[in-house]
Amino acid sequence: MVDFKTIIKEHDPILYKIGRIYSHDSAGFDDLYQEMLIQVYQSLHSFSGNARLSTWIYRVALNTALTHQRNEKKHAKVVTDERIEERECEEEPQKIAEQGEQKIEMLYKSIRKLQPEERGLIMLQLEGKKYDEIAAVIGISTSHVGVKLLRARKKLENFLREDGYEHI
Amino acid sequence: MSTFDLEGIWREDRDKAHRHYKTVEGELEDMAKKKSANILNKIHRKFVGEMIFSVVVVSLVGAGIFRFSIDMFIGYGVLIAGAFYMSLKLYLSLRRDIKKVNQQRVLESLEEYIRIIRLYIYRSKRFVYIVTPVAYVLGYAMALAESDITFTLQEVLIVLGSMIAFGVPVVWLMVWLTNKQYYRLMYEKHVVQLEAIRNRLKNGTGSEESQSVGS
Repeated sequence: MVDFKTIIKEHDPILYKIGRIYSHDSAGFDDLYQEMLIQVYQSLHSFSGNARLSTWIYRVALNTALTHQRNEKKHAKVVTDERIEERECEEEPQKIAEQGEQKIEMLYKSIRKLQPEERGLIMLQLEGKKYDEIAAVIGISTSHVGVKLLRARKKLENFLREDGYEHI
Repeated sequence: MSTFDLEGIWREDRDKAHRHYKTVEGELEDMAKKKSANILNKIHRKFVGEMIFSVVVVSLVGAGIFRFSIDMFIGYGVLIAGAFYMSLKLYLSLRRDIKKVNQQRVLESLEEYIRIIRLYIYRSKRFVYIVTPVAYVLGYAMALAESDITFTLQEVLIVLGSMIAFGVPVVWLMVWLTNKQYYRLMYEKHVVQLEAIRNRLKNGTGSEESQSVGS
């Protein structure tokens, strides 16, 4: 038997990752995560079943995140790009030991430097989504996805190179 | 220069993403309860509003009847008290059944709420079917009793005939307005909302492919 908890349990990684790329600190992550959860829950009745549930959840969560971003800008919140796990790091990225955790943090940090829509595109591509599904989530044409993704990917790779990474 | 495997690193974060759910499980239960509570609160507010409105209308009519005839007022009062008692009993039974519902699993609780509220609507409509014609007939009878006219058998038949001729369409209209329109607007639309949510939850992960991270 399926219920909302099961739906969220299966799709929580989506909300988690969107929360991480659209927030800069733990408090921001918690706020955004709550909002996405509420939006998904309240909007479930509007899910018409003509798309995959995961696609629909991506769409709702990304729209919530983008709205959240716009509201944050409006209130001119000063945010510092802290790690979600609040692990402090004072060394320059290329000097940091090559641990998986550090690389994940660096990836999130670089994604956060992208424009809001670009973050969603990159995330969906990294999640292994095909262009047509990305287009359905973002609300643009499939041909546009390719062009925008290429641009966003190049920017991301440049950010990572600036931080001392190659062979991306 | 260090190597950075974008897709590989993204996939590594998957376990943490999946573990994150455990930290929010409690919040989901609270949310599920709140959602149902919102709809039930709406029903409760509508019932209270209905009661207040009824009291006002009944009081105004009662005041008019009181000026006309104390005996009729007593008869009217007894009828109204009986109707209020039955309505309240039906509603309290609804509240009691709803409180008993286990809210831990959203889908099951939704099914229960839908069943309980539909039962409440069915019983209320049945109540209207019974009370409306009875109230009409009793009201007519009381009005006739109050008049000092002595009817012959023929006149009684004419009066009965007019009561039926006039009463049937009026009673039918009142029952139709109450059962088909009023209950639909007041309560059935909330049941439809709950049913829609239930259907979405049931169909939501039917033949979904599981999420895959990375290629």
